[in-house]
Order: sequence, then C-alpha cells, then structure tokens
Amino acid sequence: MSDMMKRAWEKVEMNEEMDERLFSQIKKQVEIRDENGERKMQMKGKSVTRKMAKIAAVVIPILFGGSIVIAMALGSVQET
Amino acid sequence: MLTEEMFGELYKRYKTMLFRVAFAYLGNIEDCEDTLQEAFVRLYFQSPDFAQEEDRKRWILRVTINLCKSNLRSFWKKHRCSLEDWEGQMDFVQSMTIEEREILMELVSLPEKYKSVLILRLTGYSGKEIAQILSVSEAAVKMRLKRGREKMKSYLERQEE
Repeated sequence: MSDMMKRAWEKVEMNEEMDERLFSQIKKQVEIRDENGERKMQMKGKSVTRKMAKIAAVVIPILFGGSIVIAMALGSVQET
Repeated sequence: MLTEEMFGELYKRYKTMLFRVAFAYLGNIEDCEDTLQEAFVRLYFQSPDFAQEEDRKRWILRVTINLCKSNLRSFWKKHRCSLEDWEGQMDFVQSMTIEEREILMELVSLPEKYKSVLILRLTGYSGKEIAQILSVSEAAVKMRLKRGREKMKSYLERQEE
C-alpha cells in the first residue's frame, strides 16, 4: 500500500458540524424507542425525506406525462 | 443492551473508521451520513453481547460494509461525485494534495471486490482477518489485494506519464 494512499486515507474525516448532526440524529432515533426497548421508529429523518423527494421526482413527471397523453388521446377521439 | 454512556464512547471510538470505510465505498457525504446513522442505530439496538471489543469492531464494520453494498445496489443510489464536488462538500479534501485527492478518487472508483479488501487493509487488518470479516477465502483476499494494488498502481503510473 503506497504511503500516499495511507496519508490520503488518514485525512478522511468528517467535520465537526457533520459529527454533531450525525450524533444528534442517532440520539433522536435512540430516544424514540418504546419502553420495552423495542425499536418503534424505523424512519430516519433526513434520509426518508430524501427518498420521498426522489420518489416524487420520478412519480410526478410520470403522472403529469400520463395525464397529457390521456388528454391528447381524448382530444383525438373527440375530433374523430 | 448498551447504556447511553457506553454508546457515546463507542460512537467516538468508531466514527472516524466507519466514516472512512463508508466514504471509500460511496464517495459522497450524504450517503455516508445515512449509512453511519443506520449502522450506529443498529449497534445500539441489534448488537449482540461481545466477549471482546475486537468482535464488536468487526461486527460494526461488517454492518457498515453491508449497508454500503446495499446502498450501491439501490436503484436510488446517487452518482459519485467529481473532485470538484468533493472540494465543495468536504473540509478534509482541502488538506489533501492533488495526488492524494486523485488516489482517493481512484480508490472510490475501484470495483467493489477490490475496494473492500483494500479498505480493510487500510483499516489495519491482515489478509486472514480480512478473509474472516468478508467471509471469503484467504487466497481470494490475497488475489484481490494483488489485483487491487495493480489497478491502483497502473492508475498512478498513468498519472505520472
């Protein structure tokens, strides 16, 4: 393993801001568990929001495009 | 079950190691954050009792690697960042030389099977230990290490030309 690779590797560190944010997110999840110690909350704050945004980014254009196609099809039926 | 105090200690102990592993797999900060969050939550709720701390370390490493792999397989996976994106996103990149940035980018871009053994090597494990962590044969680890290094070397040589 080259020394350069090792040096680069050792420089990879999260910054203080990310460290604090990550730990507080983990703590929130830990606190939300129920009294029996069972995990109550499976959702993960930010990551769920990101996933929902991604799903919306795919689904909304499909729905929008689909409605245009249907409208065009209905229009052509009416014309005939 | 871990106490909050113990968990805090474990977080401090493993955060940097796991961040490096996740970053080398995923190459972007958002996915790293999600992966580490899930890994530590699993450590809190799902980790068995370990006789030795080294066993716990290997357990959390395996969990993180598996989460990274499943993230990479995910339909929703993000595109890896360019060096320019890295500079904008991460403070540590500022402290790196151009060569160090490029070699890190090369590691992130390696095929997963070579990358996983190189990452564990960088984390300080021997060939035998890497074989145990990844549940593959020692011979396979040696072969992957050799090929992984060759790929990195050929990249470095190309850069020097």
